[in-house]
Parts: sequence; structure tokens; C-alpha cells
Amino acid sequence: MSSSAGATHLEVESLTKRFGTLAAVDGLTLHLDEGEFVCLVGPSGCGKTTALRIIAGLEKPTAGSIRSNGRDITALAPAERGMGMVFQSYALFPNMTVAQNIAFAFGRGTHDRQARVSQLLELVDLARFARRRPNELSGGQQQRVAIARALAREPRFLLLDEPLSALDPQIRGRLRNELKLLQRRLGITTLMVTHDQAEALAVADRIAVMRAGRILQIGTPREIYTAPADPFTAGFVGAMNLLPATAESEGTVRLLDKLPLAPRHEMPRGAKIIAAIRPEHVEFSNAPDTLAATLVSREFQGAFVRLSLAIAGLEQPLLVDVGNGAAVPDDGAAVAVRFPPEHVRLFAADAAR
Amino acid sequence: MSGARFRPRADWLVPLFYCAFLLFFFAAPLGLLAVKSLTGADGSLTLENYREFLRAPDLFASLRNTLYLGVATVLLTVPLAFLLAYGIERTRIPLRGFFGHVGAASLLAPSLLPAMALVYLFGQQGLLKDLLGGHTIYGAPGLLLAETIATFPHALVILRTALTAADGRLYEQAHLLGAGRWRTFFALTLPAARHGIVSAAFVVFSLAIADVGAPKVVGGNFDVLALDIYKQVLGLQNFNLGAVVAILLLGPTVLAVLFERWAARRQAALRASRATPYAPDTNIGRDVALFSACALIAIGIVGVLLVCQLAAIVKLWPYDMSWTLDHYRFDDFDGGGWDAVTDSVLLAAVTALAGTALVFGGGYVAERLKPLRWARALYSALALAPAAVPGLALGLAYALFFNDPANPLHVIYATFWILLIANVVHFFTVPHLTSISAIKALDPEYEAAAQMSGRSIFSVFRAVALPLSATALAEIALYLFVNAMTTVSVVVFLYPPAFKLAAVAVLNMDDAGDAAPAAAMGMMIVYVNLFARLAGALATYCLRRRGGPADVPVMEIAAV
Repeated sequence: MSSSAGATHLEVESLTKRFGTLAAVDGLTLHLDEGEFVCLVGPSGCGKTTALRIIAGLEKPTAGSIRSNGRDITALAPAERGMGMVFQSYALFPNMTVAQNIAFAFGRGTHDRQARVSQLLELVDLARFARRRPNELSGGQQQRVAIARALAREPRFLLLDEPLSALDPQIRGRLRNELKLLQRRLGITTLMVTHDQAEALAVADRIAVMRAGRILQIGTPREIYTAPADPFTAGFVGAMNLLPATAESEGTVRLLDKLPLAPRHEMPRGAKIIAAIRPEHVEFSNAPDTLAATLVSREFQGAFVRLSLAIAGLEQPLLVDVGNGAAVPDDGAAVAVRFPPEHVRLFAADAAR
Repeated sequence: MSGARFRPRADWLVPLFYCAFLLFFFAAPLGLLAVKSLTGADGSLTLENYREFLRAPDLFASLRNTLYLGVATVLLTVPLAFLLAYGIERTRIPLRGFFGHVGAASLLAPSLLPAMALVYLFGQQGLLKDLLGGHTIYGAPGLLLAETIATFPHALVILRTALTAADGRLYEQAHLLGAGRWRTFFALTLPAARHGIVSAAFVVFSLAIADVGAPKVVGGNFDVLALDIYKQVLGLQNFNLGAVVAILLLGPTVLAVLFERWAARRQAALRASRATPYAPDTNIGRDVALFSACALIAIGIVGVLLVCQLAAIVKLWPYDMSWTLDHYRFDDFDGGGWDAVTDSVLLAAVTALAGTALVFGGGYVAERLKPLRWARALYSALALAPAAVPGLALGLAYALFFNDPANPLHVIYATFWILLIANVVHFFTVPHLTSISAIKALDPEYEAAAQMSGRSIFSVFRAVALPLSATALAEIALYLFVNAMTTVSVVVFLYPPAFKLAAVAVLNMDDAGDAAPAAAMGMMIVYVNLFARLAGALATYCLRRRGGPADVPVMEIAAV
């Protein structure tokens, strides 16, 4: 499905959509390389679906441009942009068979429509189901019909709007893997919107974290997870402890007014700081430079156990993940925790807003 | 919006067409009606007509009588309909389905028919006249009974909907908490149905005060506004005073419909999305009492229809009860003959087809097209208004509006076409609401999915929206057909001499003293409607067997 050699890519520049005074999308810039799978992830209402619909041509931007292979497609009709889209509900027509649903995308008078429908059904491995109605298919099969329909006009780009949210949680995990494999096989440049950060981490080549109409950070899943650029991304992607701290003189930061930490770069003196550390990086230790805590409760998560600790001066519990074989004190026990400096990331607190 | 690229003209013109249609065929005639009510004999603007109305003691009494009739009908109809609805929806008494059909039966008849049955039973030559002990059925009592029978189905449908939507979990909870039957009824059932009750009350009120058929037959000296319009216009040719009365009648019906819409919305909001169905239990005492009540109501309604049918096939009710088909020689009577029946069927069928296409298309445009938001909003607002306008007021407004030679559509005056348009506009609101709820049930992304493939919105409408809404379309068509068959009020000022209508013929023949042929023709209307209903039920059944679309809720509110 992907075009031959050459840089098929999508450039979204400073895309803005205002509804009255509210900017649903606010200067969004995003470049997709050929064959890449990019996830736009953010909380509901962050503008990610609006952005996707503008890129698809279903909404008009207030400002900004979209280029495909260098060609400006901002003003083109949806069908002229070389994009296929899979909707959150799949938008399959329940009164038509699977084959008719796909054939609908060709319109009348398309040359060898029948053969092309069969080809698409083969592609998504649904040839046996051509005569079924959508409501006779499983959620995953319906999704593949929607993908086949989106691919009917041989698009350069595939746009996916929350394609997994209509599915049961149990099969979502399996299907996101299938989705990823299908995208690899087709080699089609794909932009997917999701509110589920775990989903984004699992399928995307690159992730763009969105909040309030803006992109906060773009990077590979590993980059986003290990080196979040701001406290929002840090807290949104994966589990994270966000702890208040203050910058002191001589390049030290004091956590909760107690524990000194060594910042990697200079912080203005007296600045409010947020220290972020993942639960799996917090260590129990009796060494100096530890904080006293009380073990409150535990959640068995299968591969690991997540502990909740109470620390004086900290409102929310401190989360600590330990292996499920690790020896853990009883609930109510007094413990001491250490924050390995290489795993602590510091952010200026005003960046949180 | 990029949708405009596909059909740039249709995208803009269609919403404008719909707005223009309702502005020209609804708002403008009513506006003229208001102006006429304010126009003096010399053509100047004046309140003189209203002063004349207030000075005339008869007319003022009509106003009082009308309000009295409306309130009394509500107080009689709503409790009775509630009993039947409760029996059908909340118990397991036998014959529930039958009671449901019988309770809705008078929908199929013109409102004249129950009134005529009352005359046959309790009138001067009434079979059961002696039961009244010297009192007369003509006037308030007969009118009240006739309106109760005529409005009963409307209340029943609304109350059944309100009672159907019970959440079984609440009743289980009440039972677990030890609440008794009455306690549960007053704490759960009644509050959950209260908006339905209010809604039913306002519908019954506006129907009762807007009806002209029953007052004509059994009203006696008990004058009501609707009959005054009729008399002022057809009797005295006083169009301006007729307009005054029509405007005065419009006030209460508009208020009633506004309240009704409000209550209906509240009722719909009560429907919990995750409710589990309520499973009625058995309670011998309650069930026997309810069954008896339901049976009495059913006997009353069936009795009314039977009396009319019987009177139509006997020589001279009640003196010579030997049977005859003479009264079916409609051509011998002054009502239009058998042509009136065929003309009515033709008009009803065209109203159903054209009206369904027009209204559903309008609902689709209002819900699904993107451009011209103001035009779509205006259309949606206008589409709700006809429910509040009594047929007589709309009919009079049309007569005034299209009789004017300056009107560009003057040519349709006194033709089939004005009857068609008047019917479609008069019964516009219910089909519109049904269309909207059917369209809202469609996935909002269908059009976007089509756009991505370069298919037009029209192709979605044709290939997806229409087939998926088949049951709703059938309901709309049936509603229009049945109402067009039975209505008198909207067409009585408009029908051309060469095009007789069955419901009007019933009125005219009864007026001329030909009561038996009138009853015969009234029953013909019932049979035609019954046939249409059965055909509709069969069609819906086939649609469902074919694995067609799921049911959409049908708005069954009434047009006055």
C-alpha cells in the first residue's frame, strides 16, 4: 500500500483550530516519516481528535498548513488527500455486508470493484467473512473491516481515531499488537490518536504527548518514558511519583525540605521544583540520605507488587514497585527509602501549569 | 466545511429550501391570520375585532366553555388512560395486548364518530336514553364523553411509554427495603411517570379544545371556540372575527404544547441507560380490579365503534332494526358519495408518501449537514411549531393566505395540492421528531467515513440512512396516512367542490340529518385505517425478519 521509494511524509505546521476564544488545537507541529507509526496521546479534551480530523480534512483549521510530500493539501477535500481513516466507532454500515461496506468506498463505476474488494479482504484476512454483516463479527474483525475500507483508495497515510477503545479490555492488548503488525506489513505511514498512554507506548514508533491543544514532547516511547521533558508528561505516561522540592544554594535541591538531591543543572535559588521518580526506581535502604516512611498498603500486580508509603509532608502516597518475590515488611512497618539520583528528574514547578 | 466540495449547491440550497418551505407554508399564513384578526372593516389596523369578541356574550361564554371542556377532559381521560396503561405495562393480567390495541382504536376514527355513537345511545332517539333520567346528552356531558374517547389513545400511548421505562433494580431495592405495594407505587411508580402524566394532560387538553367534530355533533348549546371559528367563517363569512377566535384558541394550545414538550423531555431524561427491565408480579386482588377496569374501558371503546357500525346497517335506528345496505349508497346522499372515500384515500396516501420523504429529508438535513447552522436551527425550531396550531387555525390561515390573488401560489387554492400541503404541515411535528430520533440513532461518523472515500452525503442518505430508518419511515407514513384520513379541522375550509373528503362528508351528512350514512362512512374510514395499520405491521414484521434495523423509539405525541 505504501508508495514506492521517495520520502512520503506528512508535515503538519502550526495547526490551530479555534472555537470562539478557545483554541482546541494550538500551534500543533508534527512531522511523520515514511512508514512511521506515530501516536498522538493525551487526556480527553486535549484536542487530539480535532487535530486528526483537521489532518483528515473533516474540519477546517483556523490557521496552519498540512503538506503531503511537500504538496500543500490544507484546502483539499478529505478524499483528495490520500488519507484513509478508521473511526472510533468504526462507522461500519450495519445494513451492508462486509464486502459491501468496503465496496462503498470505491463508488459506482469503479473498475474491477469486486476484485479489489476481495484483495482488501485477503489483506486483512477476512475473506471468509465477506458476506457477513458487521454485527455478526467480533470487535477485532470489525476493526479490520474498517481498516480495509480505509485502505480501499490506496492512501499514503492511515489515520486511526482511538481504534481500540471500542473493544473489551481483555482483547485490547492482543489487538494492539495485531494492529502494529498489520501496519508493519503494509508499511503505511500511520497517525493514531489515543488517550491510553500504555497503548501508545506499546504500538508507536514515536509518541507526541498533547495537552490543551499543544504538543508537549515528541519522542520514541523509550525517550518519553525515561526522559519526560515536563512534569505533565512525566505523570501522564507510566506511573510516576511527583514530589515537591526546593532549590537551595550551592546547586543542591532539597526534597520535602529534608532530603538533599544533586541537580544535573543549575536551578535558581529558592525555586519551587518537582522531583519525579518512577515507582520501580525507589529503593529501600538504610544508608544515609534516606527518607523515613511508613508502609501503608500493597497491591499485587502479578509481575510486581506496588506498595503505598506514607511520608510526613507528602499528601499523596509514595508508590514503590518491588518484584513479587522480594521480601517486604508488613503493613504499618517503618521503612527508609532512597531516590537514586540517576533516576530522579527535576522540573521547575511552574512548568506544571 | 469540506463537505461543500461534494455537492456545493445541495449543501446550501437544501437547508434554505426547508426553511423557506416552513416559512412560506406555516409562518406566513399564521402571520397573516394574526394580521387579519387585527384588521378592521375599513382595512386599518385595529383592536376592534377583539373588542367585538369581548362584547359578544356568546363568544366570551365559548371561551369559558372551551377551557372548562379542556380541563374536564383531562381529569377524565388521564386517570382512565393511566389505569389501562398500568394494567398493560405493570401487571400480567390476561388480554393485555388486546387492551392495548383497543385502547388505541379511536385513533383510527374521526373525532365525530364517538360523538355520533353517543347520540345513537343517549340522543333524542337514543337506545339507552332512559338511563339519563330526563337529562340530555347534548352539551357539556356528551361533549366531555366524546372528547374523552377521542383523546384517550393519545394519553394511553404517552402513559404506556412512561410506565414502560421502569428500572427493575429500583423495585427490587424497594422490596428488599420492605416497602409495601402502595408505598412503592407512590414512591417509585408515580414520580417516575409524573412527567408522562403532565405530558399526557397537556396533549389531551390541546386536542380537546381544538376539536370541531364532536362539538358539531353533540355540543348542543354548549358553544366552544373551535365551533365558533367554524360558524364565523362558514356560516357568517366573517373571516376577521374567525381569525380573532383562532388566535385566541392558539394561545392555550401553544402554552399546552410548550409544557408538553418540556415534560416529555424531562420524561425522556429519566430513562436510565442501564435500567434492567421490570418484571411485573401477580397480585390477585389488584389484578382482578385492574382487569375489570380495563375490560370496562375496552367494552366502552368497542361499544362505541359497534354502535356506529350497527346504526349504519339497520334501516332506522332504533325503530326499525332490520338490516340494510342502503346507507352505503353514499352517492344518494349529499356528502360526496363514494368518491369521498377514494379521494380521501388518495389524499392520505400522497400525504403519507410525500410527507415522509419531505420530513425525513428535513430531519436528515437538520441533523447531519454542516453548513448554514442558522438555517438548520431555524428549521428545527419551526418544525416543532405546527403541533401547537389547531387544524382550524391553520386551515383558516391557509384559506386567507392562498385565496389572495396576489399570492404567487394562488393557483393551488381550492385544489388537491393545498389539501396535501396543509395536511403535511399540520402533522409535521410528530414525523419530524420521529425522524430526528431515528437519525440520532445513526453513527455520527457515517458521513465522515463516506467523505474520506469521496462519496457524497447523499449517498450515505440513500444507501445507509434510509434503509436503517425503515421502521421509523413506516411509522411516519402510517401516522400521516391515518391522520389525513380522519382530520376534519385542517381541510374543512380548504377542500375544493370537486374533491370531497370522507371525514368532511361524515360531518356534512350528519349535519344534514343523514346520520346513518354518516356513520357508515365514518366506519369506512376506520376500516381503511385499520387495513393500513395491518399492512404497516406486516411490513415492519417483514423488515425485522429480514434482519433489518432495530426499532427506534417513535414519538407518539398528537397534533391538535
